[in-house]
Amino acid sequence: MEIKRISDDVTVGVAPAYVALGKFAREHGLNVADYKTVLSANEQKEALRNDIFGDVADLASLVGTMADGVAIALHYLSVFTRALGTATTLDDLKSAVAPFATELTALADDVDAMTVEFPYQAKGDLTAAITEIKDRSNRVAGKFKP
Amino acid sequence: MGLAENVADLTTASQQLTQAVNDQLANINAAVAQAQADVGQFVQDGAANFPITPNMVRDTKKFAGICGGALNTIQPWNTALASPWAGLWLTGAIGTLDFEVVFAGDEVRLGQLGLWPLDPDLTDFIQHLPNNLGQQDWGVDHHILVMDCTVNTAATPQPGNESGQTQFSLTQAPDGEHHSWFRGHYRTQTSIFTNVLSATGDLSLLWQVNRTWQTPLIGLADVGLGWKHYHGFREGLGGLRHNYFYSQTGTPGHLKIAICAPYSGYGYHQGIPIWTGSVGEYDLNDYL
Repeated sequence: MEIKRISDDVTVGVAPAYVALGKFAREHGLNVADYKTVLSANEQKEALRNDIFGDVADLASLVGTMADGVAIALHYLSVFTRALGTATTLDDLKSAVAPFATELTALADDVDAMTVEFPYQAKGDLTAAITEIKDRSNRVAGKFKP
Repeated sequence: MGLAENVADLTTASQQLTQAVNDQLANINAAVAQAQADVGQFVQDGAANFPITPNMVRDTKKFAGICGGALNTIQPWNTALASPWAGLWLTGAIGTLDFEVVFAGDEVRLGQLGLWPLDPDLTDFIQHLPNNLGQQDWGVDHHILVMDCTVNTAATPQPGNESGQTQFSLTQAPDGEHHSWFRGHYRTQTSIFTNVLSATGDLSLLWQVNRTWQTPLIGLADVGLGWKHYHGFREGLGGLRHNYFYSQTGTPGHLKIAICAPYSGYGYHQGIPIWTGSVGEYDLNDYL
């Protein structure tokens, strides 16, 4: 992080983000009130992650929630796919996915009403998330190729 | 036997005794000298055998936190320094400070910088040995840090820098108490290899100002002396791991200096060059 003098916004120091400015300033005879810190982009990302881990859930719990979401989606898709193979009417399809209908319909309504917000929506937009998925998928897939 | 004869006998005996003592003195002196040598060797053996505790200063082998791990790349302080390193210009000080990290076996680049050969003190410690495949780098893993500092405007006297002498602080945070500051009668050591390439005005390096032993001012007087091993001890531990670019007179100056294998730890190895790596702030933290 940068240590900036507030009066003229000049950078006078650099230190790891875990350094407490107050103590660091006192050790050098500085008045901490005259200085501010500016985190780098990576430091901001790490600070945000630490905030999430500390305030929302730890990493294992977050992975568990993600696993549940993937499992629900996969379960729904498998039921829907099976129904597609045997249904002769639209009602047959509705009947097959009925166990999911109430909750998933409510979820869609909640997202539309903005009472539920997915992280990708808060981070940016759908395009940004899709782009990141594509990029990382290609890079990971590339590791499996000889 | 008459008196004269007795006196003569006494004189003769006295002379014989004196001769005998004189003869023994040489043996005694030789024995004392041998004992002194034995004691000195015992101390040196003890110093050589004494375990080396982990380095209280981190990232002192590769200086990987400086210049982003890149070698032979000059970078200014505000982009060069990253964890665990920190740096700060003291109030009012205006200047430049560039860093470059060079492999200790890079004869070409070190030669360009005026740092090769690693004589007189560093050669014996950093041995660059070609392996049996004719390749270099066998057994040498250290990097050398080159710091080029120019102070154009000296620091303003402030509380904590009352004389305006400290210009730039190169440090590692956080700092904290071991058990107290410089209490206790155990010894702590600082050692470092330095090579002052150029210096003008009044600017020196003070290494390990407050944690373990503080070096003397390393600057103008060391220009042209090649690699020099600074080492010393003090009692107890202080609190800060600051290293200062320092001006005794609080005036501008320039210093270009290279350092290698800095070490701070417990015990004093009597000047035997040592180095070992860090395991974090073991001296501050008490792990479960």
